[in-house]
Amino acid sequence: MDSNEPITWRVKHPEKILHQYWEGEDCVVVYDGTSGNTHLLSLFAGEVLGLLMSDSHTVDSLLLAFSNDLSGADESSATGIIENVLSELRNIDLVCNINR
Amino acid sequence: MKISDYSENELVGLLKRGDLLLDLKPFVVRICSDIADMAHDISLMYADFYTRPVESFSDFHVSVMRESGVFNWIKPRARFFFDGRPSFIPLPESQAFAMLEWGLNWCVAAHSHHYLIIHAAVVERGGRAALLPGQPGAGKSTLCAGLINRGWRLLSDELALFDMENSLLFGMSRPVNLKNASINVIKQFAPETVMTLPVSDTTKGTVALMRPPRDSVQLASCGARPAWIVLPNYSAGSQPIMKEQGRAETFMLIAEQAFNYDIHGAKGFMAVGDLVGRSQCHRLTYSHLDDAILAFDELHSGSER
Repeated sequence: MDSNEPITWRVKHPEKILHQYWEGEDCVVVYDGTSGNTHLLSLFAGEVLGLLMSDSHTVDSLLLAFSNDLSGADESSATGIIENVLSELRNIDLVCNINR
Repeated sequence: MKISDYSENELVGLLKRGDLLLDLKPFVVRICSDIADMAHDISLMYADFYTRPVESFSDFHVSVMRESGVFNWIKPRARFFFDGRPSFIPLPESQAFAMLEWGLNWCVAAHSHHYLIIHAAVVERGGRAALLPGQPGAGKSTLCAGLINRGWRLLSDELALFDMENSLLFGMSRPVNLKNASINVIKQFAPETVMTLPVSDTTKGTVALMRPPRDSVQLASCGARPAWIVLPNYSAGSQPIMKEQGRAETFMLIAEQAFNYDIHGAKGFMAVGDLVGRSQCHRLTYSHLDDAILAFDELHSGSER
């Protein structure tokens, strides 16, 4: 693998993921049918997960997709926000890096 | 026949033979016991419940039996059996009836997976149910006891049974388990209530059970639509505060308090979502029972407006 190649992320088992969201709330609940675990995510993390359910993405493509949501942040902090969300989703085993 | 139709001597005989089948809608429990006081407490607490003929099917076979041995002659102890197998450690015989209640809770929580079983009190008014989940000490049994003495129907003070197919809450309407200071609080709040003698030095402190209201027992097989989830939080000296609580956060709490959430997998996830989605979610901080009941009454009247 080319070390300069951007890391691409995807949901591990999109067919096993369920979610519940109620209008006006700032959190979303996600069920992972593979592990049986339930997670409380921020709405933004839920939206990132939702996007990764349909397709794989790099940090840059996520930045582009969420440019409206992150318009108030400068580039490095926007990148940090996306990386933190990806790190959170990876730690709970919902997403993985497909370059490896 | 109802329990109140039997004399205590008849109940003692039925219990000794293991022929007492108590109808705890939706379950039937066959109870066996050689402890004489058991008949008295069952007669006191389950007076309005029906029995089933001895040859009927029962969901659970439970026994509370005196332990044998010299030590037990000096300090008698009793043990709970489920399907003939000893379950839990022996406890002082004075705790036998409380042990029966705890054992029955365990039977239901560990085996009745056609329901989502939530550690919560449930009360109903006008066909709409309020679910009161909470950690021990949050005041849910006290609040439940207060509410059912002020016009709300008791479904349960401990185990909410959520019918996942029909989105209805059930609860058996069994005796309310009061602990420590809440025993006197309820005695003063509703002096007409019938309670067992307090038993001290249990794992939960001093406990006493309160007889469920007759109307609640008669309606035990009627489910109620979930309408409110209220997390009670007793805080000495606090003004009553009813605060809206996020549904996603409430979901996590309900999932944590559901004994068989993990067993149901995706179905359990959808069921908790259904329950939470149908309910207004609140957190109630209170220090006086009257204030808390007023807050519940306002919730109820608000829903009618």
